[in-house]
Amino acid sequence: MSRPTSVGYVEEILKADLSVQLASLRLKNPVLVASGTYGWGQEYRDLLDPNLLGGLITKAVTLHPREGNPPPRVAETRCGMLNAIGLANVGVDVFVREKLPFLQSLKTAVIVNVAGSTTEEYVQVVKKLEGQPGIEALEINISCPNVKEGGMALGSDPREAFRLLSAVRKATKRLLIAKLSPNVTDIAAIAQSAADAGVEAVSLVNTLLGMAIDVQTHRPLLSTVVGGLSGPAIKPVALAMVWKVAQKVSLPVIGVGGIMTAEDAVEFILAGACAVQVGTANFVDPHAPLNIIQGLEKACAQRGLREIRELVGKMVLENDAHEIR
Amino acid sequence: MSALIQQKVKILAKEELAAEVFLMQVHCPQIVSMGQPGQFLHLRVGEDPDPLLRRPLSIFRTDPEKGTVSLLFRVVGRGTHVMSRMRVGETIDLIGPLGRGFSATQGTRTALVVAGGLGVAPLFFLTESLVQKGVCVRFLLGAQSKKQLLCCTMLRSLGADLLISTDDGSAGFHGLITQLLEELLAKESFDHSRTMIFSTGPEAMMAGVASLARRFSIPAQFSLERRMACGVGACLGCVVLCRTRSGGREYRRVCADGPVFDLEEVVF
Ligand SMILES: Cc1cc2nc3c(=O)[nH]c(=O)nc-3n(C[C@H](O)[C@H](O)[C@H](O)COP(=O)(O)OP(=O)(O)OC[C@H]3O[C@@H](n4cnc5c(N)ncnc54)[C@H](O)[C@@H]3O)c2cc1C
Ligand SMILES: Cc1cc2nc3c(=O)[nH]c(=O)nc-3n(C[C@H](O)[C@H](O)[C@H](O)COP(=O)(O)O)c2cc1C
Ligand code: FES
Repeated sequence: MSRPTSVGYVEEILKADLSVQLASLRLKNPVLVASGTYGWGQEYRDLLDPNLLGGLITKAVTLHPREGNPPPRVAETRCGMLNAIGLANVGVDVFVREKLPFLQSLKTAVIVNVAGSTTEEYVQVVKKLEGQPGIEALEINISCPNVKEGGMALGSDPREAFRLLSAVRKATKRLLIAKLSPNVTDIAAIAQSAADAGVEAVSLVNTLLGMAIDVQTHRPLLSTVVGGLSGPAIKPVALAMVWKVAQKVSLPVIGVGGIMTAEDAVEFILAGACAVQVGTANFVDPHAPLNIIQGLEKACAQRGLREIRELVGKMVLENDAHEIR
Repeated sequence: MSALIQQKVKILAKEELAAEVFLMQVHCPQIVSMGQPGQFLHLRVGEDPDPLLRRPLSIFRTDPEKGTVSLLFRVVGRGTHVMSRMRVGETIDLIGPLGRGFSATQGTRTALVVAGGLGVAPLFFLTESLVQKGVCVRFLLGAQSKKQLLCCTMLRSLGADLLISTDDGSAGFHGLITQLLEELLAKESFDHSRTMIFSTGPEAMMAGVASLARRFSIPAQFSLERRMACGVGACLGCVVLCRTRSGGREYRRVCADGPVFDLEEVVF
């Protein structure tokens, strides 16, 4: 490459450092793709180089293969969508054999989302993944609204969450992230249980319970009647939860819920998230994660920041604003 | 797996063929060179977050000389309504070509193409490519009435033998398209190893076509539609129950394992 011109040199200096530290994990940028929206990492590779991502979170992996719920499994709602996939996945053994090799070839942080119906199932999945290289962290999904047993039920009571996460903690040395449900009274209490169990970070939030009915046929749009709402419609809810937990619990928070643009990501970072996940936006525009990464660079430049980390939790509050909440 | 592209393409033409049915032509040479009959494009309806998700539409026709792709769609809801209002010169963001298209076996000499309503959309491109390969195409086109028959002239000009049915008898055979197919199969004895059925339309119609195909032992392929989110096989939102080789059942993705499925797979 030729010697940089003086202008190029200035740009080089101004180019912000987007890397973030998530407990012991260094991410090259704070933009990850959310579980269940990016398959096993291969499906989008013609459209976006996965190596550009800060991290990639897999579809939930369970002990046994799961076929998932009957169709219809997705429906569109105003500024959002409902899903009832039901943790359909190939099971941990096939995952390791057939899906993991591609993920191991990537130069991005690979995080495996783990789910189960019982504590024992979670523990077994985690143990089966234990010897496998190329996995930077596990995201423990205690928040899936689309299964009858386990999932959200295990994650909506602080004591249950503590028990489950403690058991998982004992089964692995890996970095653990707990993915929490917004369908609870006090998400900070659950996050605190996660911290007490020795989990290193939390992802907030999974989908919100929602439903829709076809008024012509009088039938629900999802086979399961109730499913999980995601997309721009849930962003304010997710943002409030991120802020609440970031205030009260001393764990790094990964923000997720309705993030479509760099501005959305900046909001989450200002509220206290040190990284973000892009979910439904991938369906709308597979370039969204890259647009957000580039937009965050610009956002730093506009604010004269050298590092994105300087922006974390920097929402400006009037002195008495705390009192009102 | 073949390559995919995401691109903003220019709308070159738009025409209302029948009430609420539009033909839209866009410029996209890559889709022209990669797209196969039965594959589809996933289109972003606009920049707004509402309607949020992309909409799948079949590749109706391609023009290699002009580098254009045509789409045929009916306005059924908000997404297709917005698309029907787009103007020539505007751009639309597409992903494609997606899915597994139709595949005629080597020795196929005769194709029985059965289209109900908008089912003609993926079957036009198929017919064009079959005719080019020297396959004799008998195109069975069904609609409720004469006014809803689409693309008759275009199909004839491709060189297909067009057979029409209408539910109300206002044109062609008076009755269901499956009755027309049954008559045809009974009247002419088609060589099983050299004939194939291709069908798209309402599921009840395709179910009828499937049972005729089984009865007359003629291989068949069907293009299915399901609501989609990602369109690329990542979300598992678009599944249909399919028969496996071993006689079991499993969910398969319409967007990635289909939209075209074999007679042996489909469960109507
Ligand atoms: C692979 C594939 C190829 C298709 N090709 C064509 C085509 O070439 N021309 C064409 O006109 N249509 C085609 N469709 C159907 C088309 O995608 C839907 O009509 C469209 O998405 C409806 O969007 P909307 O916002 O206008 O309607 P909505 O408001 O979303 O829905 C209106 C009605 O259409 C139904 N619907 C919505 N999405 C789908 C869908 N993906 N499949 C089936 N029904 C749906 C809804 O259940 C509802 O009853 C195809 C669908 C698939 C899956
Ligand atoms: C189709 C679909 C499948 C999902 N599957 C999972 C899953 O397997 N595990 C999980 O923890 N979250 C899953 N989620 C939740 C997302 O990871 C994310 O938390 C949620 O969609 C909110 O973010 P968004 O609004 O950006 O999509 C799924 C979401 C969608 C839309
Ligand atoms: S639409 Fe996502 S898997 Fe088919």
